[in-house]
Amino acid sequence: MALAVENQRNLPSQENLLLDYIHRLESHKQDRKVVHIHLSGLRPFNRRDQHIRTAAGNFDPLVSELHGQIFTLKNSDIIFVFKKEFLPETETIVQKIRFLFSDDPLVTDEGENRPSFATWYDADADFDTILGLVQNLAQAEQKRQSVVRARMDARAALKAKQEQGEPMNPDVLARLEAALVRADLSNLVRRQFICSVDSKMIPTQEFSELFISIKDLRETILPGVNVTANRWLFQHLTETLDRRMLSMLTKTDSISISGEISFNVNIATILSKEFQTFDDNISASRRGSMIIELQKEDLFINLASYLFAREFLQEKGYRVLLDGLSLEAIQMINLDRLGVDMCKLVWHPDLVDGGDAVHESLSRLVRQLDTRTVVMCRCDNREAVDFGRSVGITHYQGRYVENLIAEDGRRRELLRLKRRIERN
Amino acid sequence: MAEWGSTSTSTTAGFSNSEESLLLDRLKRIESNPAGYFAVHIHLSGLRANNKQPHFIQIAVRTFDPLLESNDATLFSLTNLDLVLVCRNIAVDDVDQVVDRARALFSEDPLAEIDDSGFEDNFITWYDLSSTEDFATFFSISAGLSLEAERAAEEAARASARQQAKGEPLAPSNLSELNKKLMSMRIADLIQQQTCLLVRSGGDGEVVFREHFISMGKIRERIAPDTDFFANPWLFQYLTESLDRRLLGVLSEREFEDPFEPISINLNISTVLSRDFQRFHRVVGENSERVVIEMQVIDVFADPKSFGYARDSLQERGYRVLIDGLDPQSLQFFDPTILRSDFLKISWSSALQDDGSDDRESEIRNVIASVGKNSVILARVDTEKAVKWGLALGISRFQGFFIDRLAEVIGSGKRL
Repeated sequence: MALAVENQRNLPSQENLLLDYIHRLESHKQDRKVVHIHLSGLRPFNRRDQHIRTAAGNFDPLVSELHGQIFTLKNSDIIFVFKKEFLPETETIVQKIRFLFSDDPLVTDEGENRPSFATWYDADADFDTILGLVQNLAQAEQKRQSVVRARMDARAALKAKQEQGEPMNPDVLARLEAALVRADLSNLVRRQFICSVDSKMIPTQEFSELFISIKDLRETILPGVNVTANRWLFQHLTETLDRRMLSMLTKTDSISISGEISFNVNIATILSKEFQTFDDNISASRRGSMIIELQKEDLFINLASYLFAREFLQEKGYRVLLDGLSLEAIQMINLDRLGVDMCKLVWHPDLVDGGDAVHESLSRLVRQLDTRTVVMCRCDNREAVDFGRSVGITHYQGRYVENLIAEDGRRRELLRLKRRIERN
Repeated sequence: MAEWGSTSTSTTAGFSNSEESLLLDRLKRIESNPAGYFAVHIHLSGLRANNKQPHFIQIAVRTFDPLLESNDATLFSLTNLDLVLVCRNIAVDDVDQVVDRARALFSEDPLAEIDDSGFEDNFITWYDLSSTEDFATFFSISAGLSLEAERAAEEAARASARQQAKGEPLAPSNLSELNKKLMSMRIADLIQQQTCLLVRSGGDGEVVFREHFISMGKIRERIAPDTDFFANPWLFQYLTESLDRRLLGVLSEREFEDPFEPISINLNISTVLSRDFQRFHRVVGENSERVVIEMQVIDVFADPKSFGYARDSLQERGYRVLIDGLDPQSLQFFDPTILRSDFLKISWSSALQDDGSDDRESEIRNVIASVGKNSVILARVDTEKAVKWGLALGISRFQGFFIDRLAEVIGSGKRL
C-alpha cells in the first residue's frame, strides 16, 4: 500500500501546491474566483481515477490558455481557481461534469440536507474561508500520509516496540491470565469521574468509572510487554479482567463502590455464571446506580447476544453504556435502535479539524439522541470540552476533567478558609 | 426449577425424571382437586434459532424466581425449551408481571411481538386447569410434548457425542503452538473457491468473482482435530491473521494470467496494511481491478479509522472493497452506506423467508435502495428459494452452495 506513497514522498502534493498557490494569490485576489467540486462525495464506483481524470479534463482549454489553475486532490475533489471574466465558461464546464455523474446520489439527492455538488467562492471576499479550507485539506493529507506510512514502516514498528515493549503473544497471554487469577488487583483499580461541566468550567460529578489500570498492570505484572499490541488477544484478556472486577465488586470490602458507578464488562461475561452471582449479591436498589459499559467490538460479534444482554441488564435496573465510539462509529451505529442509555465518544483533535460538516453532523446526532446521554471521554485539554459544548454534549471524562475537579476542590477549600477568616 | 443447567440435565437424566414426566405427574395429581390451578405455557421453542442459546434460556428461567420463591408456583423447563408455569391461587397480574419481564428479554424476536388486535399471542398460552375443557387440552399438549421430549433425548445424546467431538476450546495456552503449525503447514491444496454470480432476468449468469478461501474445517482436520476453533471468537480472529498471511503467500506465488478472472479474498484490516499485502500488490500489478478485498464488519467496528485508511488506499489502487459478515438483522442497527465500500455481503438465512414480517422486509428493501442494488451480494444462498427472495428485492448478485451448482451449469453452456 505504501508504494505510491513512497514514490510521492519527495514530490510536493497537490494539496501543498494548492496551499502555496493560495498564499501567492493573496496579492491579486481581486479578479479571481474559486470553485470547489466535491467529487469525494461520489460513490466509489464513480470515483475511479479515469472518472476523475475525465472530469478534470474539461478544464484543459481554460488551463492551457492560462485563464485558470486546476488542482485535483487526493480525495478526488477538484479545485479550480480562475479569472472572473471566465465565470460563464467555468459554470458551463461544472454543469458538464455534473451531467457526467447524473446518476450518482451526489447529484440526484443534491439539496435535501446533502452537501452541494460544487461550492463557489469569490477570492477577494472569501479569501479567509478559502485559505482555511485549503489549510485543512493540506493538513488532512499530511496526516493521512503519515498514518499510512507509520503502519507500514518497519521503523515505526521498531519504535513502538522500543517505547511500548514487546508485542503480546499467546504464551505471554496464557501466563498473564494464570497470574491474574491469583493476584490481588484491588490496588490496580482506578476511579475516574464523569462530570457535567458548566460554562465557567466548574465540574459536577455525575458518576465514576471503575477500571483496572492496564498501564499499572503492565508495570507490576508484565514489564516490557505491550499488552494492547494485538487487538484480539487484548479482547480476550479483558474477559479475564471482567471476572476479577466482578468478584472485587461483590466483595465490597476490597474496593469502595460508593455513589453511581460504571464499569466495563464483555457481553460474554454478562451471560456467564460470574455475572449472575454478582447480580444475586447486590441489592435491587444498588443496580439502579450501576452503569454497565459495553465495547462496540462486542456488539457485532454476536448481535443476538448483545440484544439479549441489554434487555436483561435494563430489566434488572442497570443502565447500559456503549463505550469507545469514534466519530465514524457514532455516525454508523443507530444508537436509538440499539437501545443504549448512554454512549461514550472518544475525543480526538480530528473532530475539530473535520470542520463544519463534522460539527453539524455531531450536533444533529446529539440532538437526536435527546435523553440518551453522550459522554465525551479521554478529554485531555480544554479544547475537548469547548468542542463538546459547541455540539451540545453535557458530560465529560478524562485527564482534563480530573484537573478541573482538583481545581474546583482547591477553590472550595480557599472559599471555606476565607469564610472562616471572615467569621473570626 | 430455577437451578442452573436444569434445561440440560433434564435431557440427559433418565427419562422418568424428565421435566415433562414431572409435569404430567403433577397434572394427574391436580386433576382430582383442580380448584385455583392454572398453567401458563411459554413457547420459547418458537424463538429464532439465534435466540435459543442455552444461556438465554437460563436467564429467562431466572426471571421467574421472585414468583417461585414466595408462591405456590412451579416452573417446568421442557426439553424443547418451552417453559410451563403451574400456579395455584396466584393473581393473574402477578404472573403477567414476570411473563412480561421474560418477554422483554426477547423483544427483538418476532415471537414476542404482541399483535395490536390482541387476538394472538404466540409467546404464551393460558390454561385454567379448573375448567375441564382447558385441563384436557393442556394435558394432551403436555403428553405430546413428553413424547417429543423422549425423541429429543435420544437426539441430544447423539448431539452431546458430537459436542465432545468438537474438542478442547481454543485457549491462550494452545494458541501459540497452533499458530506455529498454521504458519508451517502445507496449505496450497486447501484453498477453495466459491463463485459469486450475477443472475440476469433472462436466466443468464455472469461470474462477478470467485472467492478464494482456506477452509478452517480442513485446517483443523490437518493440524488440530481435537481443538474447537470456534469456541472463542477473539482467539479465532487472532488465528485468521496468520491465515491471511498464508493465503496471500500462496496467491503471490501463483502465476496470474493476464488478465485473470476476478477473484476475492477475505482479509483482516491489519493484513491489508501490512507488508504481505504489498508483496501481493506487486504480483497483481495492473490487474487490481480484478481483485475484490473482503473485510469483516467486526474488524471494521473494532477500528473504523484503520478501515478508512485501508479502504481508501485499496480503492485508489483500483481494488474493490467488500464488507462481509452482515445479515438483515445487523443492517437494522447500523448504516453500512457510510462505509463507502463497493460491495456489501449479506447472509441469507431461512428465517428471512419464514419471517414474513413486512416491517423487516421493507427495512431490508430500504437498505438495498440506499446502498444501490448493484452493491449487494446475497451470500449463503443454498436454495433456489433464496435466489427468488433476493431477486424479488432487486438483488442480482448471489453466492453460496446453490450458486456453485448453478455456476457449473452455466459454465457448461446451458441456460437455467
